[in-house]
Amino acid sequence: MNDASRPTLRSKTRLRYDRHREAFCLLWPERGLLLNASAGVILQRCRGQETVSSIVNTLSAQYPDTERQRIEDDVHRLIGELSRRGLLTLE
Amino acid sequence: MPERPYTLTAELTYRCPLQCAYCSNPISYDNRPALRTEQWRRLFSEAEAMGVMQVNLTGGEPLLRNDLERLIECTHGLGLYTHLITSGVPLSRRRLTRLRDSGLDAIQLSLQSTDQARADEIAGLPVHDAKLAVARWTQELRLPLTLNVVLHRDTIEEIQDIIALAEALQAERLELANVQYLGWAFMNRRALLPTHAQLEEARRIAHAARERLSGRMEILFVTPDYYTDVPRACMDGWGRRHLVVSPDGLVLPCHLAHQLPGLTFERAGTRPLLDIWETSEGFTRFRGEEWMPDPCRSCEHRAVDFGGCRCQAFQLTGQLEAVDPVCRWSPDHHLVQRAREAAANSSAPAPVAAPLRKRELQMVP
Repeated sequence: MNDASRPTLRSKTRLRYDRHREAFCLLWPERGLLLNASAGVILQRCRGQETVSSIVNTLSAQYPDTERQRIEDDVHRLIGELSRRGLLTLE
Repeated sequence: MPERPYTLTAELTYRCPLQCAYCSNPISYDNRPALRTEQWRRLFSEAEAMGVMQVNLTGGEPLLRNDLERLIECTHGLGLYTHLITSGVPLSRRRLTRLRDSGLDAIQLSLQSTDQARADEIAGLPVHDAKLAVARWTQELRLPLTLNVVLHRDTIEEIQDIIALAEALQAERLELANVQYLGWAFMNRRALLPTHAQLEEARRIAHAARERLSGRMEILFVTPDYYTDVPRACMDGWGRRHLVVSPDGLVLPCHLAHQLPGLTFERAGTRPLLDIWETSEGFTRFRGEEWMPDPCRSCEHRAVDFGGCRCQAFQLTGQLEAVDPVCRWSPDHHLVQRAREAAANSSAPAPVAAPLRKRELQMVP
């Protein structure tokens, strides 16, 4: 992964907001991940339109109280993990 | 109050053109009318309202219902992840296109073997080539595919070929589903249970492939309980995450729970689904830990396996509350050990009882 990669959730996955648990859920066949708030915000942007660096920029602007470095670490960790698990591709 | 369920498995019919000896449907059941389109729709909507996120449409063979398109439109419209679990028989490319356009998210297709003659023998019908065609159409139509191959004595050594076929078909997921020995499979255990050596070799190959294909194909290797010594967290715990509804509308914690004697299950539509989930006798009976026998109730593994599989405990011991005999601490563990030894020592093919009469009528073996 580099800053110009465009993370894209694989077609077998769907992101859905769970109003009971008040969190986003990433669903794929017979599996699901209940996401914490920051993972939900990050994955909504993983549609193949934005690069890793633009996601970090957008979220830094959206959450000025959070350190940019922390956002960057979160984005890299989550995207790396989901790409290893085959839930997301990096184009 | 218990947690809300995540998954609804809708068994749309028990009818199926195939006759696999390990069929996971009940051996016998009441011949009640199946739920109608409108009843399923109401159920899906109630399930969504109480927190369900995913729906598995299965059977029997769900393709035998001509309202499948409408049911998919309904679950998709509710925002539920909609997964069709099918043998792919009978199916045309045109209908598969319609199913996709109705909002299907993903499809799981079963193959009985990689060898055409063997596959057709297991299925009891010449369907292997038709199933391969369905697999290819899923790629053309960009429907995410899970390939499911059931592993048993006669197919487990095909594992390399199975993995190669899944790669060639560009499956997103491969489920190497070892038979669990309940119902039909229990009746046919002698013919189906692999040896320990067969299982270990298959596991080694599956793990190597999982590593090699990591990030490209998800490979699930489900170990048969008979070779684990530790119970499986059956259904992730009784009445904890999953709802199953039988073709005639019984609301169940697993697909065989209505085979257990002395438990009462309720029918969808008789009272709110959430009430059935939370308070019905069938759901509360084995939820949590209070029902557990010794040594489960003091075992640190109880929060991992939730007491194992009730159907298996009953099948092997005749007692509903027995420790799951696959557990090494079960007083009945020798029953499982004996089955393993028998598998290791038998060479002659065992006779097989296939669900030939898998029609809508009651079946008695």
